[in-house]
Amino acid sequence: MTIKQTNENGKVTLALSGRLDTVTAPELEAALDAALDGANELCFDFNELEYISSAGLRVLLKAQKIMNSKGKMKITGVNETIMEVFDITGFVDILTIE
Amino acid sequence: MEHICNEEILTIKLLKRIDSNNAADVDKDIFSLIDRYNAKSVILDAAETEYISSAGLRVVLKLKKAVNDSKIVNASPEVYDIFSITGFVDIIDVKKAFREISVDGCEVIGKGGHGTVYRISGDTILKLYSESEPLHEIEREIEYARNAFVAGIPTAIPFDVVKCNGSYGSVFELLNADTLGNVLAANPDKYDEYSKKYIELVNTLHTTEADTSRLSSIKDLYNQWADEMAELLTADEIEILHEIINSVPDRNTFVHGDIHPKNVMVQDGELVFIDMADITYGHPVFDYMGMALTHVIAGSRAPQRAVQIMGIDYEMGVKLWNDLIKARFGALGEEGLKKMNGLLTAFGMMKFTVASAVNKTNPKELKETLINISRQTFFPHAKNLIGAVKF
Repeated sequence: MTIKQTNENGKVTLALSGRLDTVTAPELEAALDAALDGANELCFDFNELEYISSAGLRVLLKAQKIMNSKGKMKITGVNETIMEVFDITGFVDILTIE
Repeated sequence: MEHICNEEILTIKLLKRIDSNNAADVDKDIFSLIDRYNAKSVILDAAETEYISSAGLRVVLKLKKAVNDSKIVNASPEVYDIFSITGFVDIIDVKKAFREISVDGCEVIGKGGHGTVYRISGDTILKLYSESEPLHEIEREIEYARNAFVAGIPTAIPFDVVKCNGSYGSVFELLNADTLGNVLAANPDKYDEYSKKYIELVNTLHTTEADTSRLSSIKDLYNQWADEMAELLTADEIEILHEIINSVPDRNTFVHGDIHPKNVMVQDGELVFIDMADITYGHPVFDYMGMALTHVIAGSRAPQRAVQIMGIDYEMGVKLWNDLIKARFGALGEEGLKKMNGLLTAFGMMKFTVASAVNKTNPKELKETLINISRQTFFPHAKNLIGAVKF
């Protein structure tokens, strides 16, 4: 997995590509720890993300909890496979997916 | 239209297409059937339905207004989408058809009391239950696991309930992992690292708030179990159990119900829970009593039981337990910790008492033998447990 990060006046965008699983989830967690300081908006760009596992979902959940107190969070470019995971797990009700 | 009516519940098979060409006839048919059977509840079976137009939706709406207790079952993904996009799923209960899958050629990765576990793809497993397992219990396990997962409890992703050769199964994420019991047994040198993570995992569970509207209360469950023991216990003994249970403070946090190293998996160094079938909410003492039973009490009578239950030997189980309560109650000091250990072990015997009677696979003679142990070791001091949980 690779993470491309941009920050425009507190609007942080993380573009992920590859697989977000137990191996790569800690990388994202570390990137978030560093990126969310002073952030008021967080956007995940999933256009290039192929797969997400439970470990990846837990990082999203954690990010959502942090952003609930700091501003907003959304996810864009979700492919069909990942959308199905969001759907079946009930994450669609928790996350903002555009 | 094909239909069947049982005890005022009318089930009607919907047609392949319902659109402006036949909606008026479908409407007439449905309402004349309701009148004929005086139906109080209507189930529309959409197994063969491929398309529903707005005219068809209006018939459904009219039905829901006339007979509130109505639902649609067996909706294909396409038909479900129509109900979902139009917002009808908020008006009427629409149940999706279960996916049919095959396990031909799939690797068997485990066999348990409830059924068989297959690897069905690179990322998923199927727990296929025996035919006697009721569907609502399978759906409940998925629902509970989903509840815990969405609240942030580390566990495998629960997917959906599927059908396979006439039985039902549930699909979970495949964890590329081994049980903590096996990992600890094979790598005793890693005990410090994994015991710390185990304690953290248990703590995460017990500090995470549950959605109490969608789970059972552990106190309700224990009270129900106590009532189910009328054949084995005297009314006074059952009353003591109720008093102990009801004196435990209320909590809204998760209770797993069966925490031990075989119900925890190690995946890339991270610990996650499995077997979420008995998730409830309530005071963590209900998990501590279970852990006292599995980690300490069971093996103290027969050390080989410890290996069967937990995958690790009795000595390591006791050490794990001591480290667990030291991490949780260490602030009480040595004397306080000793008292707490005694209290939780006594509660462990309460779980022993209830579990031995509730376990459906125990024959009656065995239940009586186990209850006799309870009468010697638990009931004489049971009253001390009333109001004793103060953490």
